[in-house]
Amino acid sequence: MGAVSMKLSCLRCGELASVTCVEGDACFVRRLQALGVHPGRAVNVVRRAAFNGPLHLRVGSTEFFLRAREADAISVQSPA
Amino acid sequence: MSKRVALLGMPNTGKSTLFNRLTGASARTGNWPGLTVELLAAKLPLGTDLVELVDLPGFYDLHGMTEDEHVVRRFLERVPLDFLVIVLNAAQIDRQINLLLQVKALGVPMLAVLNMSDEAKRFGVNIDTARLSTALGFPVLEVSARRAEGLDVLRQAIADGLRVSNKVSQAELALRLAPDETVQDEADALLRMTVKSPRELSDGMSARLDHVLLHPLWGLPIFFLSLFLLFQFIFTVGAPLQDAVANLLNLLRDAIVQPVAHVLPPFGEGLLIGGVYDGVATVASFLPIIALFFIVMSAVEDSGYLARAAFLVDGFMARIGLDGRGFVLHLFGMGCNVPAVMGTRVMRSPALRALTMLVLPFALCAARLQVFLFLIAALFAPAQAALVLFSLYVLSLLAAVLTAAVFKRRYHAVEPVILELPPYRLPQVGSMFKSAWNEISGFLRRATQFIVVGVVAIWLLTHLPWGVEPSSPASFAGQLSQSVGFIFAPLGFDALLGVALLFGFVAKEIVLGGLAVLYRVQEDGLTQAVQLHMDWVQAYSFMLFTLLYTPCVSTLAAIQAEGKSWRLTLTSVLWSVGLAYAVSFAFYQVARGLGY
Repeated sequence: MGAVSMKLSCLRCGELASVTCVEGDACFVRRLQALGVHPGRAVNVVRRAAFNGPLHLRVGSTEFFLRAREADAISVQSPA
Repeated sequence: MSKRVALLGMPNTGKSTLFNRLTGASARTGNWPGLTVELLAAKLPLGTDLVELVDLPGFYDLHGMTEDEHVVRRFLERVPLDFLVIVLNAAQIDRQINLLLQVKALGVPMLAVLNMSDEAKRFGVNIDTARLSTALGFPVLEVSARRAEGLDVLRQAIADGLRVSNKVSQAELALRLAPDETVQDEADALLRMTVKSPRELSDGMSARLDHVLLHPLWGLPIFFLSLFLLFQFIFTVGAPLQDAVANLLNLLRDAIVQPVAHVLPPFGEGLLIGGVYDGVATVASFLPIIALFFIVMSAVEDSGYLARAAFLVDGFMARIGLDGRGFVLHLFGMGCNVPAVMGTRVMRSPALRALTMLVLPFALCAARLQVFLFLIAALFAPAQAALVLFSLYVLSLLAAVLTAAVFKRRYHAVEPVILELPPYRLPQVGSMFKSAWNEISGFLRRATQFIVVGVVAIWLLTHLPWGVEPSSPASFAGQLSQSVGFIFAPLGFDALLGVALLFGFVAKEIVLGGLAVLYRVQEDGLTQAVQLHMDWVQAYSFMLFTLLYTPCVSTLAAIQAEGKSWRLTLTSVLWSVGLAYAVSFAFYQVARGLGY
């Protein structure tokens, strides 16, 4: 059973994956870390907004949204 | 000397609710040396001390780079402190514990509050507080600020903590703020030891509500429908209240103010009654509507729906160069543009801030709402009233979108948008009224001088030079209106309306009070005077102009203070006046052309 590495933005809604890497400037990485997104944490794409809008994410009991462009900067490993 | 305690924590931890619970109604906003923002503080007796409790802005990261994070750091560096209380959302301890450890590293005596412990249990999060407290070396208390549970224990713990005096000097604190070491390993170890939580958490109710309210298809229609219903509600409940206040103020004038003012010479009596009292009374009669607006707004904010609104519209906002936060600020701007403009501090990119500040003055604020409610009530049938008002809200949004589209190339920005979606919560009645009260008293504080100066200036212009027939062509106002009349004639305004608009630049609040003075009527007579002077086409054209033309002086001052660019401030004035003229002109000419 091999794990599949991909960008968070490619994750299907409702699928759970494990964060492997967050790229971007220090400020962006810090803010995500403060929201609980850092390597090893499980993240779930709850839904996507219409018209290519933002992604609704859940990490632990924290829910927030970010845009697809930012979600591209987060790499995850999904249990395939 | 009183001791000082700071309350800090991340956004959405219920920190402000806790602050309100601890301090009651005694809180005041104040300026602090070296800080650009006002912070809420209150004195309260704790044990044997009188303690000053300061509510710091919510922030994510002690070493972060947002404005709020700078404010917190500057506060810690400059203001002497005896004790820190950090508030955590118990359900989110898995990530908030990092901030706790950053703050602990400062070495200031402190304790931690696990707020919303009831919500945490609903999520299935179990925290061994005793063990956590032992590991950290300071008290960790479970509290529910919403239900006012655990507050006595918290007060006692702060009092106990204050008795042990090992104050850290400001110089020492500044040194300790500097290093930025990761606390992740320590946090993970602590969590493993003290917290049990399911692998993936969801509060069933929020998930089910989101399923409907954030639906890709129905989400937006539901949002706009609820917005419309809220306005309908404000209008239906507010109008009778408004009449009641106006009647009361008229009674007061006839029974008390008039007899007292009668001792003055006629000119002074006229100035006091016809200028100051009637002008201010006109404005005051709209306070119930403004209060209702803020009660509803704070309920929507507390419920967690406001962040969802940002989610729903972000995709669209991104296309016009803004983001979901800008939309939420726009909704706040519907109360007053000034705090909304100040709220752009949450954005880091100067270009994004500039663009948002150009757009925000088009939010239909409470001051403009006053003018519209009055004219709509005077000139439209009750059945059309809500629809006419709604059309103005839609137009204000369209003007904002157009502005963004026109200026997005000049103020082009890319900034990550990350916004929390807190669980849905029932709004608390107490906090709704408190927020309404804060906004109204703030509005009055900011606006009173403007309003008084404005209506007095208008009264003087209509009653001078000495001995002139009031508001006649010979008065200053009459002369002024004749010289500007040709500008406003193609929009369907008579000369007096044009003068009222000139004064509206000072504050939109003055437009109505000014009209009352210009038409030489009292508040209760203004309806008839307006019906006599204009039809619905003129009124709608006038409302369009009032909606779009130049931000008031306070908003411009805020734009200049925040943007620090005369070019931006001037752009804001010229663009909005031009747009107002073009739109009113087009509407009036087309409507008349169609035979209305």
